Amino acid sequence: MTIRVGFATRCTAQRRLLVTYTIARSDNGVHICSVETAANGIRCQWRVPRVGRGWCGRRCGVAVRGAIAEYAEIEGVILPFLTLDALQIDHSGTVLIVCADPRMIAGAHPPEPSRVQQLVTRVRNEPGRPYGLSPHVIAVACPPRVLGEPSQLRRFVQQNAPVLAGASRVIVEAHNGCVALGHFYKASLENSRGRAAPRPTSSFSDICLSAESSALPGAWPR
Amino acid sequence: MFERGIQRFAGRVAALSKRDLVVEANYVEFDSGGSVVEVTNVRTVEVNRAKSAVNNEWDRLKPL
Repeated sequence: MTIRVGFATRCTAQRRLLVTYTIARSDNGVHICSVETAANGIRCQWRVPRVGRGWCGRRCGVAVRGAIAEYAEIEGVILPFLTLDALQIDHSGTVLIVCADPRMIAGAHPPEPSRVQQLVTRVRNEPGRPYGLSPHVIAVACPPRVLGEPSQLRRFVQQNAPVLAGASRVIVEAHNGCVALGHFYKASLENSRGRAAPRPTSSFSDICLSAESSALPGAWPR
Repeated sequence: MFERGIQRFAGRVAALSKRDLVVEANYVEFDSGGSVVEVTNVRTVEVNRAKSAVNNEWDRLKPL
């Protein structure tokens, strides 16, 4: 397991950077990570449902103030433009909450910027805002699912409080073809259909639907 | 549920940050190749410390 964080700012001091990591694997093989940095006693973090946890420590030159990461490399996958601000006041004020789907983070075609890269460019060049400052990116498995369920929403806000406290603008994005989103709406569709009319028992379609529904939640670690 | 969640989320974050806040919820449509075809603004919630305003319109945005 290797987590490398590339900092854009010039190293000003040799300090120990502690990184806690959390890796989960979704249906489509995306690695979702939670990275926590500790610099000068101030922490910011991303959290997602986890299946493993550990500590990784390495010597790293970190400018404590305004330490803006260019990228994070997790198991060989480059996540571009993640902002690992040591101080919450140093991010641009914009927080992006996106799905960890590779089309969002990495993009399907290498020459094309991913959706996250598009958003980061937009935020960096937005008139009326500090030029060049990156947004803080939080990647979770299906933002609509996290924000739509009160218990998950509460936990999400608590865990990301240091970052959200400095936000003046939040952009949340959902997308088509998301397995988690499909499960989320299928469940609500099933509930509303059950309320609307009595359902025939043990029909073939019901068996298929219930089999799919029961199979999906297990694929998403909680 | 997503739309209600956005409203709740905006309220919680605004309480946390104690400042004016804009929460923009978008829906991104990818084609089969993974390129962005269309971005739709599902909802934009503005939370002002003095008053609250909600834009429920489904505005079309151009892909960046």
